[in-house]
Amino acid sequence: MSNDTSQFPPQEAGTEPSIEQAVAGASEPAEAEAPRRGRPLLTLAIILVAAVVLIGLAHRYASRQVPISTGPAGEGLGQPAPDFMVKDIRGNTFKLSELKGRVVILDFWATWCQPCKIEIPWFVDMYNRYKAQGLEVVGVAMDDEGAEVVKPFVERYRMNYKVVIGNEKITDLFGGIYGLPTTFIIDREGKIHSRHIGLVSRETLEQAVKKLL
Amino acid sequence: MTGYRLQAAGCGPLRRFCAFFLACAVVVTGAWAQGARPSYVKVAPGATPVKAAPGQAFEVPAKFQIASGYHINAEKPTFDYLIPTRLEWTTKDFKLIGIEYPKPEQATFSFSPDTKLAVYQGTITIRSRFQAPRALPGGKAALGGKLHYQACDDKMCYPPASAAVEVPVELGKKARE
Repeated sequence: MSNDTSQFPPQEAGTEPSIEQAVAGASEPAEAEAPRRGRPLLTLAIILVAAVVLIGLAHRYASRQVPISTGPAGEGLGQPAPDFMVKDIRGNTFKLSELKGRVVILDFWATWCQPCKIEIPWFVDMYNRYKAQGLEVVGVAMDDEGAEVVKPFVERYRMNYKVVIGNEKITDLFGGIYGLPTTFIIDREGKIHSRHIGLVSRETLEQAVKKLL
Repeated sequence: MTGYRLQAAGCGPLRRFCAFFLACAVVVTGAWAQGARPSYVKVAPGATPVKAAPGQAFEVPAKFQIASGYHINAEKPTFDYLIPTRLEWTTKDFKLIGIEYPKPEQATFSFSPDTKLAVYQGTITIRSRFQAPRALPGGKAALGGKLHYQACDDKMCYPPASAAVEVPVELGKKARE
């Protein structure tokens, strides 16, 4: 049996060639015997350089592999939220920048995401309570099937706020979203105030919103 | 000759460096490039070829490891909107009789403290039954398939994904007679 080429989250040892394998090379001519004395040091130096480069690459990989932490994350905070234009579930065009001047909860979710389902009633309630003070809630549904599956879900859970159909272009604009829910809170100037990755408490979200209203 | 010696002395380590660096770079950057969509399920190692008698039914156990701290939905999830785990065989040489999924665990999570969800965690074995053909060119074949799943941890869920599985099958001698 063989697996696909994807990386398994817990990194497995032994995927890199051993030093013995790496330094095992073709046989050298007999004439090269004398200079060979200096080679162990040179080889060691080369391996050290390669190791440093690889550790750097691995570190970069690891930080991308696990980009997720719970709670507000720092990257992009205080920066203007990337603008995007998509269709909502009724086929109307939606542009994020149109909401400038209002506080926005931008929630990336999907119908198959059970933790997202916990947050939805909170957003419904918060929208009812703070709409008059300038709150907007936008749900970005990441279902591959689009409005066909999202629309019945929206009706079933009485989602009273705008729901649009997302895609990878949008998630890329926001620095990549690897798991759901991921929620951005955007201030009245259109800047990202906080990012909440994974399920967080209602209190955390509500406090972040109230601070901006 | 001296020039040759010097060239040989410098070329060996350089070649080794290049080979070592390239090999490692392929491993690291390949994994890095796929970091955007990590796999939470992989085929468990140590599987041996399955032996089948010609024309007879035989069982194929496919073992999968779910990464620690993650779970995937059962074949029949608790809610209809959850994405079920499904093993799909793509092979044409063998007739699929049926697939038996393991009994799911009933577990609670921080996002579902009151409702138990039917999930798979740890290592699972999915047993499939096939009907072997009466003859097979060379007597060998491979059953190819994909496990479709959608993983979550205690706080979030990840996009639907799949893990490829391939099981070598050896057909008994009688098959070629």
